[in-house]
Amino acid sequence: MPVTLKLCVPKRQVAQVEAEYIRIPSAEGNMGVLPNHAPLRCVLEPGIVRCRKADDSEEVFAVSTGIAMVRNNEVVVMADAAERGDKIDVERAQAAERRARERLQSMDRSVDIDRAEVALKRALVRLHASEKWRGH
Amino acid sequence: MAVDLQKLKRKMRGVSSTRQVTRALQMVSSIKMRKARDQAGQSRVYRQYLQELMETFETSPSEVFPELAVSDSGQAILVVVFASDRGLCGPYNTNILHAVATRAAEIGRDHLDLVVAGRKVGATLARRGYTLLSRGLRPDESESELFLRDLSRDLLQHWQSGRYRRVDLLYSSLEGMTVLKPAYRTWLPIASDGEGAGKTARAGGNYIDEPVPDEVLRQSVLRLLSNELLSAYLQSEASEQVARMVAMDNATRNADELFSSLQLTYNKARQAKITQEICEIVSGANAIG
Repeated sequence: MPVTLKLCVPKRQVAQVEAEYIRIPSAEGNMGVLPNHAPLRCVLEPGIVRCRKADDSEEVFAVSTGIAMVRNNEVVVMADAAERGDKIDVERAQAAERRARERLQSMDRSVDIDRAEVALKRALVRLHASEKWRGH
Repeated sequence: MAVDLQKLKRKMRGVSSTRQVTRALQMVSSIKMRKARDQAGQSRVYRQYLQELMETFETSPSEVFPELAVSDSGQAILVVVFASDRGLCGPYNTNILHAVATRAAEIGRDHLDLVVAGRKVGATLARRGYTLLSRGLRPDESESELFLRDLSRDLLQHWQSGRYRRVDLLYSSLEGMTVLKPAYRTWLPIASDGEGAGKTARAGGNYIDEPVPDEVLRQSVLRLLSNELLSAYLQSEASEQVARMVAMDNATRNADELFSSLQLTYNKARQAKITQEICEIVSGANAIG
């Protein structure tokens, strides 16, 4: 019996995928979900959602913060933003990474370190997801 | 007689160009309406899941957010008004204005503060002497994320001032295909029981929580609050387009009617003029003959 990923952002549903195994970036580290997983609610960190399907192919999504719940072989991911690996604009993500790094390195006191760090993490996650997608 | 004909002709030309404009506006807004309605529909998926998630919590939201729960100190009510930046949309804005006036009559103007998104309504309410904490545009859907985030931050700040006992959202909602109705929804304080959140967990609960239940609940409540704003925003956007489409459709039809009645008058006048001229020529000829 497969597990179904239902990935949505406030404005729309991004994807619905049937998979054998789903991994989500919970606040406590990556977490794998196999069929018949116990009910679960969790807070998400910016990271990568991976689904391995029955034919061994993979689908990869970059998500920012959010929440998720697992129940009845359903993984419902409510992300604040999400993109499928192949739809990510690599150049934009690289630019965002550069910007965030510059802000972190500058000595300017007005820089909001927390926000810059989150921005950096988001950019890295998106780049990573896009690489994963092109990897196969 | 000749002057009359020219005047009529000019009027007809005027009516027909107005009709062209209203017809164009109607077509534009019918396309925009389809898009806006589609968007409102698509956003329901997330909302539905979020509500389902809220129902699984045994703790009520007010326990993790005591600062957002019912406050005793506040007297006033803050109403967030969503309306349109542009006119030409029939009773869309006036309905909202009426709703504000009704609310003001109920609780007294001194106890009503407003935050307005929508240029038209903002200007009118300011002129009528309401207390506006802020007023601005209601931006396009593509820029709505930033707008709603700022709005939510401002509202929470206002709430923390302790002046308010409630924050309400006022927007226009769609009932069926074309019926608009002003809708009120309470945004704060967050529900302490009933109303979806905080009900006893349904059978088969026993959720594992990461990192801890209260944190998951906190994050969910924050998202529910911003989702309420998004939903009100999308509804008001979709209903504006519907209102404009209906208004422009009516205007086009009225112009049609006006045009054909002018046409009739014009044709009659022209015919009368010709008849008269013939009469004159014939009687002139007779007089000579």
